[in-house]
Amino acid sequence: MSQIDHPRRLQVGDPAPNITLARTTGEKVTLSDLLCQGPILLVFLRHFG
Amino acid sequence: MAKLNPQIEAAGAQIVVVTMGKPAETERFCSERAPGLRCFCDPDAASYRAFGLMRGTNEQLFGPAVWLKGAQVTLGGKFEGLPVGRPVGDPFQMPGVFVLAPDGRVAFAYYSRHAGDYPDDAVILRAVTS
Repeated sequence: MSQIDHPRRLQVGDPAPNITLARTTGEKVTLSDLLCQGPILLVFLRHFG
Repeated sequence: MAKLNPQIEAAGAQIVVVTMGKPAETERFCSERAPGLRCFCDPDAASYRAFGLMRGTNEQLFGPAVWLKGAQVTLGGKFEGLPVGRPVGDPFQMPGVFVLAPDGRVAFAYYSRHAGDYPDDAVILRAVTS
């Protein structure tokens, strides 16, 4: 199977997209909100359940 | 990832975990596998795409490298990384790891080469502390 979409890869030094994330409670926060508290290790997971 | 949290926090950083699970699935995963971490759910994987994470090929998802990684995890006794159950969210979506500086710029970007590929702990810690 070929890759279906080709989003642009981010490089070191690029501004990160200020995505909005949803907590499990439904509350929404933006990355910029989280960055106010310091650097972020952001992990996008695959998992099984 | 949770085992790195004390060192990450000591460096003044925070771990943010995004899954493709629905809220209940993410809650369950994070309580079992990522306790104490900030967990977010993105069933549509829109945030994955925003960070340039692609859907994988059959090779990236089911190829020899994935099986080899599974064998290494099993033989190493690190069962927490083994896929058990059905995939949550888009089974073709590739994972990735980023470090973001307080100014919002990317300080480290890791695009997984295959479905079981994550950066080593030492690489992550170096990226966070440098």
